[in-house]
Amino acid sequence: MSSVQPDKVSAAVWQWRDRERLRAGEIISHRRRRVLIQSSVALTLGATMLLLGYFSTSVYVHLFKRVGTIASCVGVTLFVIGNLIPGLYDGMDRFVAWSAQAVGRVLNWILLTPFFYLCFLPARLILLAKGRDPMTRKCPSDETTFWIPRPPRRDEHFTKQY
Amino acid sequence: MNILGISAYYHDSAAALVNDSGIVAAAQEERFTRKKHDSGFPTNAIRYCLAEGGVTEAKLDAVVFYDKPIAKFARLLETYFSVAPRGLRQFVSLLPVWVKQRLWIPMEIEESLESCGIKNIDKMFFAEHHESHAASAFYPSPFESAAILTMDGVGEWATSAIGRGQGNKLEILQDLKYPHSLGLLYSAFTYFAGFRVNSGEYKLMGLAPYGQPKYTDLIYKNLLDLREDGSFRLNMDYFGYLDGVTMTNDRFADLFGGPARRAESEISQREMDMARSIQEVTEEIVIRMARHARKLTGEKNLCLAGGVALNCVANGRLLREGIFDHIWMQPAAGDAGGALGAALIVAHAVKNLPRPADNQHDRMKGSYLGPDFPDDETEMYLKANGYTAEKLSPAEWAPTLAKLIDEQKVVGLVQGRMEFGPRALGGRSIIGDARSPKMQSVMNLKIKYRESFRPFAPACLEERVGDYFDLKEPSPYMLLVAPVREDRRKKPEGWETMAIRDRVNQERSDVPAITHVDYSARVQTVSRDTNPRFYDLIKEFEKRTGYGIVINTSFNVRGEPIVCTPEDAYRCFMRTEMDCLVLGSFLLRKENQPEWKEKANWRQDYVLD
Repeated sequence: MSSVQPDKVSAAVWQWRDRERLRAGEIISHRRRRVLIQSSVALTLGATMLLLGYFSTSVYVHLFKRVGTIASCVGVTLFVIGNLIPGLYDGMDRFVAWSAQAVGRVLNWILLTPFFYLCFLPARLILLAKGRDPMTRKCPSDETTFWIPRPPRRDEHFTKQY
Repeated sequence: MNILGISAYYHDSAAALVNDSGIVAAAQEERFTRKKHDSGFPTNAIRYCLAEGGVTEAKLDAVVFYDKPIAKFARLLETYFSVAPRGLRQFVSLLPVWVKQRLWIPMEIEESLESCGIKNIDKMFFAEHHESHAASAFYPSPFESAAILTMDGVGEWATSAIGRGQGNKLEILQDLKYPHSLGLLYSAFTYFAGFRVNSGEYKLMGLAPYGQPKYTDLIYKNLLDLREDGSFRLNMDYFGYLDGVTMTNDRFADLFGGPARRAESEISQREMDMARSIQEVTEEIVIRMARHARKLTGEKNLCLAGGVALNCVANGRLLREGIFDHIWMQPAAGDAGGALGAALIVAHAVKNLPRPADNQHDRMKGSYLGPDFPDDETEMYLKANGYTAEKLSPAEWAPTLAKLIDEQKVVGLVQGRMEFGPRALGGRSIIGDARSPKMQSVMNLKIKYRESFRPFAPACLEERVGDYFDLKEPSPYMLLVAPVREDRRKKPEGWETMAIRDRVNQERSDVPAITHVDYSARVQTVSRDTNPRFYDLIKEFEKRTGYGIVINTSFNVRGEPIVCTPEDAYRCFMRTEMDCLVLGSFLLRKENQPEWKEKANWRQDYVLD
């Protein structure tokens, strides 16, 4: 675009010259990486299952073969679509991400609800029984001041996350 | 020595770089990502700071995070221990974020720095939240020694703190603890008035003059237990933030006679009265806290930081009360400033960097700590895109712009380094004629696309401040509200009996565009030392008109972060009805620009605040 090089600050935070090219390049390389990883995983799984299906003596050989075939097909499809029809791949990717997020949200509730009640409720009851109020919710209160004196800093103060 | 400070994950992420000679750079992440109040990890701001300081791997001595994440997490858990079986919704929404991200901050920092070419960090430090605020207030201040008062929503546990600074030493003496928080109290009213929390607080402050303090007694009687020394306890029966996902609850609504206002619906007198009432309560608390700080420390100077220190009405009253001889507010008083404070406290308290102070000049460099884009770069950008611009020589620059303002043009101004903090101070500003009676509504509705009640701030020559306002101190960071001088005020017929909402359309002074309905103004004094170009512009305007004062508002539209690059500025310029744009030495006139092709729904890019 230009023969003059941008200064160091512009180069760091205002890459207007190559932005479109860089952004397109980034999107393409990001997609390629994802396609490669996803199809490799699916194909490896498929190959493993098919090998198990043909060489194993397990009662599940049919299942292995079926899963192996499906996984291999998914791997090949992902590879082909990801490289030849990127628009379709991006749409599928967004849908999977959205679904995963929705499933994640549901799972959060399923897993965290019992955890919350099993962990915090008994502790609350113990605190109540002991008459403790860590959130100092007594209001109004008869204390003359609510300012709390600070102890001096410890030596390791700045190196700790707590 | 180079120390990088980082604040992130709550709101207004930022990075700051400090070296032996002082503050090198500081910027908020939102300016680069174009996402207002961006709370994500400030990778772009870090990249900028390192580029500005020319810092490479070998030269970075330490990285400091502005709070202590594990202590914050412990507070969160302790909250649930105190409120269970309530609090489940909040717990389910917050825990995954903590487990996934906020508990792994050292790794995030390493990853981010790696993307900036820095692979090994020798030292990583963690300051306390209010300690970072206190450091951001004291270390750059002009004072050799001072009392420090910090007030915000909440850090780890502290919600307000009083400290003392002397030389390069700083200690926190007392604090108030969560959930009793002045910042959260103000935010609760912000939420109830239908504005966004952590964003709309300044709107509530601007709304206050339209109301009457009808609810003040109600607030004192029901919502808080206030002591003479400014310490208080909130009645948590009325607030939702401890165990819910909203700031207030049904009891709060019952107390104020109905549910919270829905965002973007019409503002009623109730919201105005509530705004005025909570403003008065806030001012009273701040003043009592300041008196206590004076008594506790014996200092005659005060430094302020934390989000509440952005309440410039309270700051103005604090100054007028005369509790302290001088007060100084950190311009980036919110969480963004925590990045700077974190870097400074490690530089001074850990690395023992000496701190020069002359009791006159602060070390914030006018808060112009962000990126500057040279004319060469701007010229290439303009040429590459076919935008028509005229280059002004240094001698032409100020007179040309002063003439445009005098001709009632609205001018977008991008020159010099970008400001650090929420205020535009002449580096990324929109300026106009303060004498114009129409300018307030023109700028609000056609340029900023925001509510018509919102006032504009004046930027005036430092030496002329007394000619316009009852203010004796400089206010370089637009953090003081002062009354317009009595002799400049105009009281139209029936003013005394006029409904305060009708007063907005009246000409209230000879500088009506910057005079709020209560005759106040949020003043910026401009000094030649910190921003010579902006100073010269106003000086030229004074030569033409006799008025050394202009409107100065931030260069953005509603919901958009203040512009950073010339490209951001050009986009905003073409989207609005601004007349001219100044990019360094270049002047662009709207009528000369090629047709702007824009998607019709561009405003949806920004979340309304």
